[in-house]
Amino acid sequence: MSGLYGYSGNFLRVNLTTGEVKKTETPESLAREYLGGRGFVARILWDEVKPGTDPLSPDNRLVMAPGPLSGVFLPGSGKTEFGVKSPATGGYGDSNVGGHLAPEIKYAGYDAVIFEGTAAKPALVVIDDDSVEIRDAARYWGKGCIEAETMLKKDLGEDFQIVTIGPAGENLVKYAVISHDFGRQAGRTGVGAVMGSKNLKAIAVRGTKSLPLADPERVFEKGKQMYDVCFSKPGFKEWTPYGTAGVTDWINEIGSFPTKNFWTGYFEGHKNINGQALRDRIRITDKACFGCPIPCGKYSRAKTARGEVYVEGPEYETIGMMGGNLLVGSIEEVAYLNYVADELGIDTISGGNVLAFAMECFEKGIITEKDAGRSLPWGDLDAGVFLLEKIARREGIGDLLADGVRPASQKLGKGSEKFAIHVKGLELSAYEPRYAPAMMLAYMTADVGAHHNRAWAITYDVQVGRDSLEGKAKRVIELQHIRPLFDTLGLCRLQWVEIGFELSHYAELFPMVTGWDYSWDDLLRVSERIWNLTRAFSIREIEGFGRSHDYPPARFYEEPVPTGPSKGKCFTMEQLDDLLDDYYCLRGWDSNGIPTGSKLRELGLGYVAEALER
Amino acid sequence: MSETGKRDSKKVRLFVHGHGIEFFPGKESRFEVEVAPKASVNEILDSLGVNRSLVMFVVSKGVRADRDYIPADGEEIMLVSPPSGG
Repeated sequence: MSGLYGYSGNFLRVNLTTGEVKKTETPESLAREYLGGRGFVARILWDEVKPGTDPLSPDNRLVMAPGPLSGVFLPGSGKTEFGVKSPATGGYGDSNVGGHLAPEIKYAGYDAVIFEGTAAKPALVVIDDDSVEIRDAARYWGKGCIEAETMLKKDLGEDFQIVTIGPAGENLVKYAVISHDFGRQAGRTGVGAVMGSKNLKAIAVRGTKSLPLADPERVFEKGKQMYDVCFSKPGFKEWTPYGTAGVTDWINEIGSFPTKNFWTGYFEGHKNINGQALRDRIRITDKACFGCPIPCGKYSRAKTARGEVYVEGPEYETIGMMGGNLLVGSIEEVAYLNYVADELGIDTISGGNVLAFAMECFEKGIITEKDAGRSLPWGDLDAGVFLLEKIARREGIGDLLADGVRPASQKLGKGSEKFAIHVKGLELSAYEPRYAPAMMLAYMTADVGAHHNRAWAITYDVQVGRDSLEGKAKRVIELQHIRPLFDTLGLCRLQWVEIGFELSHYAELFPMVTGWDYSWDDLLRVSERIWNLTRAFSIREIEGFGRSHDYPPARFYEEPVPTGPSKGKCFTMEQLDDLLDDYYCLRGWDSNGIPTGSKLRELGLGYVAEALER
Repeated sequence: MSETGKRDSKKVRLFVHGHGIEFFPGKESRFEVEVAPKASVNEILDSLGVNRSLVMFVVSKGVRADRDYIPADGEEIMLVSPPSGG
């Protein structure tokens, strides 16, 4: 035992090339400086992935890490972070998943599991407390994510928690997901492709141990209080029925709903794909993750001309990216695309971008019917399903699209780079940013590429002025420290974001769990340390990385929004530069977006400063 | 009271839901305001300096309403702010 509280005390290392399995104590210094989850992922990747490593080679790492608060009795304590050198961006990549995996890993005795090497044939890793086996996975290879999870639950037992990849991960699609709990995903940055590159089809975990806590009685009392607070929140009954889909109308109202490949920010048909449509027409029941009192997951049954499907979702992001962004106008058809993407193991955010990019290329004659193998009209469910299946198997046009919009546009040319919607190679989430400077800056500077979960800053834009740049950088930085801190602690942030759960509860709880006298500001300081480390990782890995990698595609600074509440809005390059200048200055980075040596040393990252100076 | 004996204001209790609380005065989730008798939710938000769009919808007596809703004197209404996607 490591003697740490809140931690299970061990790192598990599985070498898929040699079959060696090794358990080591969780280093206390690492836990104190990086906490866990995203912090462990970032530090392990920095230390273990050699500079210049091909993300899809055996030398890359796949790190799976819950946090110090995962598995503890409190709302939303079920998050696991997955991290890799990203095949989508070439830089730092991570993505988290809810469900029931994190507590199981902790109860099995591990604070992080590190996969290295590549199995000679399809493999399944079964972690059953201290027993760790690498088994043959031939019978699961080629199966969809949910189909494989169903088979594994049957074969191993319902009390195992399973993660799988689908055909997209097996075929190294650069936005392939890691799937868990029949419809939840670590969806972003291509973590599923790295798992596929290791021939690792699935991981199964069962844990039966207890978790040492510094003050178990106070943790229990505090946990009970936190549940009571959640239940007493006024929005508890109002928000839960709709989940994240409930925001669809609002995003349209403010003109930020991605529509027709981010051509505009308002979708006329949004009432037909919103939270109410989901609730009234396809929802069967609500579904929650471990320890969660606000079940945002919606389990749905959707009937379409193509048939009937059962799917968890759609979440708002999927409604945006596979609804408005493709001009798909019914919640049933959005749910159908959601199901197909989930089963194939494709991220619906990047996938929705890629499909929209292909449809716009088709509209403009850059991709022809002959190139694609069929027509690709906007709003066409059959075209969407066709493309997803081609992508997952890298067949025909799918092989081009499987690498994401940046590489596809670079190969296609003909001006398609202007509407390849990404930053750093990661496709945007479902918020049109041309009339939201803070949100734009959040996309530009997110460490993994354009992802909303680092800083959802759009309400700040609405409140303080959408034409103003003032204060936006400061706000984005604040959010970039708060929101990823949840990924570090192993928590879901939705209790805070959605029902207004106070952050002070977590600050109060942390010392009770760990025995460490950390204030909220101390925790935010760790988050800032991690943010600088992940930036440094991309600087080390991507030649010439800096300011030029922080700009959005030309659509956002050359094409004013043509319709809706954001009509006429567009950034100038000067405005984008002003945003970046403010941001870099406040972060203590130089004008090229590189953290200064003094800033890194101030954050306890002297080893990073030395590496970058070399 | 006005010269005609009618009250020239009403009291409305606001119960703010979600992270939008931070944009309300005092960052409080539950507080009371005194406003003109015919003030709608939109006008109440204006008086507080809160952008109207930061309230996604209103709940009155357990039923959803829009921001044009005019709360009664003494009523408590819930103001729901937008969530981020998942």
